[in-house]
Amino acid sequence: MSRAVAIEAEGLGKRYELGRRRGASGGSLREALTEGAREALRAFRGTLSPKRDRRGPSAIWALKDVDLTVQRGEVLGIIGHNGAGKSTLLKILSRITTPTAGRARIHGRVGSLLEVGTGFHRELTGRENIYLNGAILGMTRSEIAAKFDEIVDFAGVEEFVDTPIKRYSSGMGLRLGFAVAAHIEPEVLLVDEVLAVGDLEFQRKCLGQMQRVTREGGRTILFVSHNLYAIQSISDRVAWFHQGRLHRLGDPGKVIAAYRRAADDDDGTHREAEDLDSAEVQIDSVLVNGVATRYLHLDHRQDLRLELSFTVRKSVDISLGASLHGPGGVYLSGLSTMLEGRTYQLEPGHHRAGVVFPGLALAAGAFTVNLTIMSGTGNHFYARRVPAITIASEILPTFDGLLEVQHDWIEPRLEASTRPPR
Amino acid sequence: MTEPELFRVTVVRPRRGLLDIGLGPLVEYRHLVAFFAWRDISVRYKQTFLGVLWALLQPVATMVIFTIVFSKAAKIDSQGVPYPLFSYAALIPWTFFATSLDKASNSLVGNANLIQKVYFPRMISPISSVVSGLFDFAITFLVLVLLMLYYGTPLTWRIVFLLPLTALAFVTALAVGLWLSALNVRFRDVRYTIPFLTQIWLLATPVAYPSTLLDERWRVAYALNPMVGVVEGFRWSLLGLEPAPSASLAVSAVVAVIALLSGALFFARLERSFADLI
Repeated sequence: MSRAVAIEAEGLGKRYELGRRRGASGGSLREALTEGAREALRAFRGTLSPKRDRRGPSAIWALKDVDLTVQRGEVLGIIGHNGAGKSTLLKILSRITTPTAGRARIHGRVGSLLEVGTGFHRELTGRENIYLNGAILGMTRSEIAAKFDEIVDFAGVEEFVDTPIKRYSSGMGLRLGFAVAAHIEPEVLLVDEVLAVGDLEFQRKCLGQMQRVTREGGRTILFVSHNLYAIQSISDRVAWFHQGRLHRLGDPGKVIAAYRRAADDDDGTHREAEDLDSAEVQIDSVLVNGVATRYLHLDHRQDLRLELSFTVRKSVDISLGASLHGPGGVYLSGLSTMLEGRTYQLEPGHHRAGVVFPGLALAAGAFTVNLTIMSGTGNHFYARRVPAITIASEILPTFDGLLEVQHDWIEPRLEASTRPPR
Repeated sequence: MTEPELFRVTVVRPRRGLLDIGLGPLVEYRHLVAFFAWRDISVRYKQTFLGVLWALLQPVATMVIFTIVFSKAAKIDSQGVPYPLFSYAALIPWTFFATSLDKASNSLVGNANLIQKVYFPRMISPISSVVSGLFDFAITFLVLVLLMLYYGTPLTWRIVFLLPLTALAFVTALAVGLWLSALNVRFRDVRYTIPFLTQIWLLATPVAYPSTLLDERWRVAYALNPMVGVVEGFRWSLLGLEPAPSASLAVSAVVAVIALLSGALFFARLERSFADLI
């Protein structure tokens, strides 16, 4: 049996009128009246050409022609620049606003989390706000009551549960908001950039909770974030929105890599193109621990064996290169045989070469490894895979930072005692 | 072959039926009414020093002023009932109506942040404003009981009619609240017209004076104002003032129901653009 569908959107679009009738203060009656009078006058004078589109350039499509199908139990990450239509999509799917075109069918109860602590009231206590916020997010009184202790525990506000939240620190307020949100269990959950706030530790806790919920409950999550690391760690697929349109949809590693390159190009900084082959060298596949894949779920201190299977068409002198990148594209380490003083003379034929990282220990998140086959002098690329592999790493509690450097501790030992004699 | 639907399906589309007021979602989200009403009441009592007394202050002060102006100075006939009782019995539903109307009309704008961030049937907002008004309404009866004890006015079986009369006041306040709250989202001018509107409306309702002051011919037209039926009904059921206002109540009820339905339709038409306009 095929997996059930959670969301089907066809040709979804949203047009906003600019200028009048929009903005924080709403319109005023006077504007509407004068506008109406002006138009009547124009019509009377006959200067209003019959087919002129009065919307003209004063309207923009915040979202246009979006076709999207999301399976039940899937986590769809949504990325894109500000104003790309990400939030508009979530607002339409959550029925906060209506589409101008197209339609969407959503199977199951929809919960949306576009802001942490929506509807919190400063004068009310933590307890009262949990009930109010829970109700606003679609929970019934009994559902909230059943999860109340869990929520308080998650937020870590036990002692302040009967204190008005105006006395809370901003961190506590946020944690309480997250805690309620993390415990709503609709079939479809829409989450907008809410992890941008809150400390790193708490963000991880929330990501963990979201993953648990989808895995155990078969729930569907649409998750907007600028935090590519978070997106890559929890998404099954990623949708990249650009100027209101669904630009690219697919494997998280690939879409995010493409998005990064585009973002870098926009910045004006030069980055290498994705994959490259040449007349001399053609990479046939990437083997990860002997398997042809470009994605790996890495456990604690697993050996990582990366190999390129490639075809050499005429004799070349090569060196091998590998670089490791952390969450957000942080450049962690660059290695090359050339720097280590080794180059290889290869004859035409099929070859294999690669690199092994023994006992690789990475922090939680998305890492990538790029593999290159360069000329022996290192100044020319024959072929490369960028990234050769995307690694999703589980949280490791035994170190801080992005990766664990190979090390041995020097245990304390007594050199000379300064203890006074009895 | 199609699989049976395991979950309820929500369809999001640009338009919906002209006569669809979204009753389904309203029923589904009904629990929010209680939450919003509770929030309004509890926040107000936490923030104010006098708390419950505020609910009493307005009708009692108005009753005192009316007594001085209309009874002592203008010598208005209160149909054989002590004037304080005569006016207070009318001020109970009137205060409920006027404050609920005001709160309902400003409710969407007051919940602007929620409306931009969460879905719920927007009608919940004005409905819960009127519901929260019932709390103050109940409190105002305390003073009535004291007045009735003081003047020795007996309670009769007619008191059961307070329930449908309150429902009529509720429907009227909600009907106007639906119209004005939706308009208020688009035109913020509306909020400034509300005090003016309630002032005129008070004069057009027999709160300070008996409707017998009006010529018989105008009675039916007068009852087009649903609060006329409500106020006369309150006096009839609490103070035993004859005759029973059956004719005006019938007219009032019809007007109120029409106003509610049209208000709901109007609201539903505008509802879908609230998040974009607010």
